[in-house]
Amino acid sequence: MPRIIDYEKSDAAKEWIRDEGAEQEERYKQIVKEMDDLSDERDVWVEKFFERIQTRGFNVHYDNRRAIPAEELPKRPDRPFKVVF
Amino acid sequence: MSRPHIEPYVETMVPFRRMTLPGFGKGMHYKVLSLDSDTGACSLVVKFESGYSLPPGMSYTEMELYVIDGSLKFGDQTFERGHYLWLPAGVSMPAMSAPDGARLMMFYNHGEPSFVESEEDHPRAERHKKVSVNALEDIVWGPANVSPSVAPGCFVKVLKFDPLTHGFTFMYCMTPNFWQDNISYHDCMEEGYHIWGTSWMMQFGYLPTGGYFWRPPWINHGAFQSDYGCIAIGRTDSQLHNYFHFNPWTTPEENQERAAAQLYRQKRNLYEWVRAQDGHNHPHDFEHPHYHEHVHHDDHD
Ligand SMILES: [Fe+2]
Repeated sequence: MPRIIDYEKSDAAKEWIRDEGAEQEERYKQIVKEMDDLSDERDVWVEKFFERIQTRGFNVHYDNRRAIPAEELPKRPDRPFKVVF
Repeated sequence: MSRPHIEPYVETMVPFRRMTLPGFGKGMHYKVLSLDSDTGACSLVVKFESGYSLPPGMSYTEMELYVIDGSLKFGDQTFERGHYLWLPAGVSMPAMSAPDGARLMMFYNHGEPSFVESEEDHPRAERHKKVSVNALEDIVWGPANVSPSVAPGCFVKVLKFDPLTHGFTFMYCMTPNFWQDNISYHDCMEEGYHIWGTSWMMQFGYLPTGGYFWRPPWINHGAFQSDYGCIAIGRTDSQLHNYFHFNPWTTPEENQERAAAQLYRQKRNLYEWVRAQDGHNHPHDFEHPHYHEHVHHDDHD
């Protein structure tokens, strides 16, 4: 089942991939920065999420929900909160 | 096939760029949403100028296309808004044109965009696997048919399903006031593009029209919410399983460990067999005995 057929990449193709790859690296850095800038807001979102799953409930499956007891909530680990990897 | 984690990326403010790769002629413009910088495989938003045309020809890699706006003449067919095409590698397309222009998504899955004039299929092409369907008219919305499932109000249309990997291309929508209070991750890659509307995820914030993500396995996403709904196109590279939890701070490594622990509980016999040290971990599929060879062969390119 060939998902790609053997061929020789042209120089133009190699250059295109190199250029677009370099731009994507910049884009990635920009995304990481934007997501870092969102940190404080995200912390509030997490707090609200914890409130909702204790009251309205955590979505286990489709419309099955479970209210999470406070003692089950995770403790924030002592490391940066990364969302982009 | 590997691409970085691109999430979120909103393409609407970014200008189109003229396509200069050989074969595509004049009048095609694109934006790269994500790219595998080893192979050139990529996901693009593409604009065809009014009057753009291509002669009959093929791509070296399998290719997927979705018409966002406008329409496309494809031989004697017309692809209107919502048309989805999956072309296996080397399948010859008829002459194609966009008399009034069109905006598309194009996915070149295993190599950079390529176009070679040809009225015939490549000898290795598998034309019978072609998929051509109008996603908006020919398929109905249904609930996501997986367990555990996304919450009520998220609907799916499957456009293309790979019986070997269970990877699929799909439309998904969220109805107004959709919410799902869990955090999800998968053991597959997941990609999405918002054709219209805004949704929210606890990690990445608001994803508007034109918002995109390419998310490698094991990465947390969710809780989810949408005020007024959204419609999107999505893809995975293998079976999509929802690993739900409520710890926002886990790492991809921890998520991976947990997935393996679940596999041990849920598919104990298979897990034991695969992890055996005596060579069982090179599984053989009597229906597809050469699948591994193809994977290796393809990944080399
Ligand atoms: Fe997901």
